[in-house]
Amino acid sequence: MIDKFWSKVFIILTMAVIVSCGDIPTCLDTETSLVKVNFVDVDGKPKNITLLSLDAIGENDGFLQYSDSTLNKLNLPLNPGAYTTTFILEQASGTDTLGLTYDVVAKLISPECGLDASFDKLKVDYTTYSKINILQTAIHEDVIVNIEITL
Amino acid sequence: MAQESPYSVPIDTTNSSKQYMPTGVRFGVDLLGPALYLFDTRNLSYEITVDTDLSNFGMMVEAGHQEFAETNDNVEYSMKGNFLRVGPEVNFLATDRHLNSFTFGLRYAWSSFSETVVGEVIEDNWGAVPVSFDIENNKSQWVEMTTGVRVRLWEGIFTGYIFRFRFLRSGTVPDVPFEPYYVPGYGLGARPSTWGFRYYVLYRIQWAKKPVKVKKKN
Repeated sequence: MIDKFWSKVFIILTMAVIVSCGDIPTCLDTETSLVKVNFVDVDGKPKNITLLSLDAIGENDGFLQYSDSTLNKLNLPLNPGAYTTTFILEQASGTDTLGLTYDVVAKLISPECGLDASFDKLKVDYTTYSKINILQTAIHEDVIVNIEITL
Repeated sequence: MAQESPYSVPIDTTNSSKQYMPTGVRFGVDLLGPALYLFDTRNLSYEITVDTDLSNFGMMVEAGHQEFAETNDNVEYSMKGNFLRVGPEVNFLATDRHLNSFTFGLRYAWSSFSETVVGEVIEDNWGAVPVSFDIENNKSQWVEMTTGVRVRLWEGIFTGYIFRFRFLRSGTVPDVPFEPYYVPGYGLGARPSTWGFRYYVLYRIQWAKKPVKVKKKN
């Protein structure tokens, strides 16, 4: 009888140890700094823009991957060192600005993996676009659209 | 007729009203935390326990101190703080004359701690952004389910272990944009639940024999 009791205790302990051992931190980065922006027309359909350049105040080099490109979706990288990032979108028709505010929290993934930042509570501080909607204030990799700009 | 022991007396009609009176208090110290420090000098923890008996129930108070520190090429991080757990236990070996126990318990736990972190957040477009925080008065609370065994070795000396499952952590963070990394008594702050194991040596001071239920013989 006592053997059965202790064998059950042993099994429970072994399972718990296995679960605990499986809880080893990984360096998988699940956070993103990218705000997903869609450009649409008045009917809500995707609308292409031709971007000559994309810059942000405080970022000296600009985001070269968007230079001279035609697109209807844009991923804007937020500055993890500030609570505001102002983007400057230069097109042939003129220059638009988009100032975004947000919460940013630093977190230590693990001492081996280092620090990461998570963003939330996205708001539009100011913009030259006439119609802009925030569809999702949380900033995650699995978010499809954060901001929709109607042109 | 059940046998008496130096530590217990069978419950009968004359003393059954006294079975919910505490008959002693037991003090314990964790051996595992200091032992693990010999193998991993990043993590140091001390823990003491006090418990008393209430029939086949018990009340536990556990207090401890924990420090965690690591410096490498990525980050300099350190944490230091104290924790306290309080809660009831039920003993499934209520008929044991030597007061050995196999328990299930609940705890409510609090911790207060400080953290220091220096490092960089790397963002692909913005590059390395320096981060430096010195955070005081971090506080956390959580709930635990425990199970454990305590066995009398000799006279008032016991040994035993407790397994704990911690969950429902919440906490107040000072106005600093840093998520607590290591919570003393809990473990990694980002985890919704954590496991723990501690091995104790305990000493029981007894002021009365504990009334125990008599195991019926067929």
